[in-house]
Amino acid sequence: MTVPTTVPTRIPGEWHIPYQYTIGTFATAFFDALREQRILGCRCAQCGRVSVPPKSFCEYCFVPIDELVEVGDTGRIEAVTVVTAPFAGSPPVPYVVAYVRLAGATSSICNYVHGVDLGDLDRLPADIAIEAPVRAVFGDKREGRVTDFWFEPVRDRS
Amino acid sequence: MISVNIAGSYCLPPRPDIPMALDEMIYTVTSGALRDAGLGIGDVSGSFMAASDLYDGRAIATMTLTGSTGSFHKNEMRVCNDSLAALTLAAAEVAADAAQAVIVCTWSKLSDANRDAMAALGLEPVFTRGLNAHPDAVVALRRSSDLGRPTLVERTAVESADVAVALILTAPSPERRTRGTVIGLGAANGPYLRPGEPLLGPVTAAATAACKLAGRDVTDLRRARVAGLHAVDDDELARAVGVPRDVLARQSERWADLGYAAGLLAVHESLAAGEPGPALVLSAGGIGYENAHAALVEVA
Repeated sequence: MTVPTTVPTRIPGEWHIPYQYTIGTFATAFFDALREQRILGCRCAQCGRVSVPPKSFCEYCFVPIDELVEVGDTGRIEAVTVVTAPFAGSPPVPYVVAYVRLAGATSSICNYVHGVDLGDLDRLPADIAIEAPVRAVFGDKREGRVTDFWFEPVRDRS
Repeated sequence: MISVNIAGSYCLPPRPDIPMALDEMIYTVTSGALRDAGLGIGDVSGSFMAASDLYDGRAIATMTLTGSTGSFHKNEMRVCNDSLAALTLAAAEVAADAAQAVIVCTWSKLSDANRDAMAALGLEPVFTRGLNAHPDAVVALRRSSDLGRPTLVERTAVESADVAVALILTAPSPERRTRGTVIGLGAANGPYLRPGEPLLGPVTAAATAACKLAGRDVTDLRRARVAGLHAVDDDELARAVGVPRDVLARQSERWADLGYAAGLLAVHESLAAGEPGPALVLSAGGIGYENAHAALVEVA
């Protein structure tokens, strides 16, 4: 018997696998501090870099770290993008995502930048230029998640 | 310098939907590459494959696809990485004289999958995925850091593709067919996600390492064939590799995501094009192009 030349059948399948990620003591301290409206980093005793979020080891020196430090709630934009393409689970477009180097830190952390006028995408506002100042703003209901805070432009640059 | 013979090559080129089961696709290219090399399955001692459980929907694909990859009762090695990483492992085994002939194969069958649902899973789960931002923002942020200005993530026409590729690597021998010779390999990783280092830093490092291993200067290159990396334009890539722009050959932007198959497809394309002189094949996987590989191939 010959094989009939038809369009092959597709059998549906899905994976539903829940995870509970163990985040370690440094990230736990970071998220606990967010509930108190504080942002923590870690300082490498060898190179002095202050990384946010904190890690229990220095990626540059490859040595353990044991010091947590609180960094400032203001910082400067190190990289920024405006997302105009919708994606499942994302906020309504357009929105701004940025890496911000907070005062006292040597690395940057990613989060949304709210309070930006995105009415004209051909002329993005100076609020989101590289090195523009921003402030971390905390929500009223904090759950110990990265979404407990976001950034907003600091418009008084005096 | 290393010298590993590419004796055969076969490809099911990218299409929106190849109407075959995944193991049929893989068997088609592995058996086709063996035919091209003038060898049979008994002549090879193992199979090296590059695949993603996430992309092909099979947990530990090596166990479910053994028959088609040609590794039944043989040595088998799979990488969850670009297929140039599988080529590197395979070439190392042959160069070390641990094998005389091996299969390298790779595939992607996104027509079976929901690409958007998978893309977000490529993000680090705690700090980054928790934001639910568009995954393409990762490359856009790293480009912003490079360019010193804001970037835009816009909706682009993305077409998922099915593709499969296989090569046969052998130890050099005058009795064996030669389609080309792998003479250099390199790999480099950049920092995950964060800005502050050049987006193409890993690509530069991988290309440099491949040329160094081959004992060749970048000015010797007659072709630099680039897999993927569609967010980067020709001028930036040419600068990063250190070649004139007209040396570059790019894969079609129509296929925005060939998965881990992109690198080996570029090797196959280089062989098929009969490119004169040493051809550098480059790929950079990872959601922010952090993971780069390079292979330097002398096409016969």
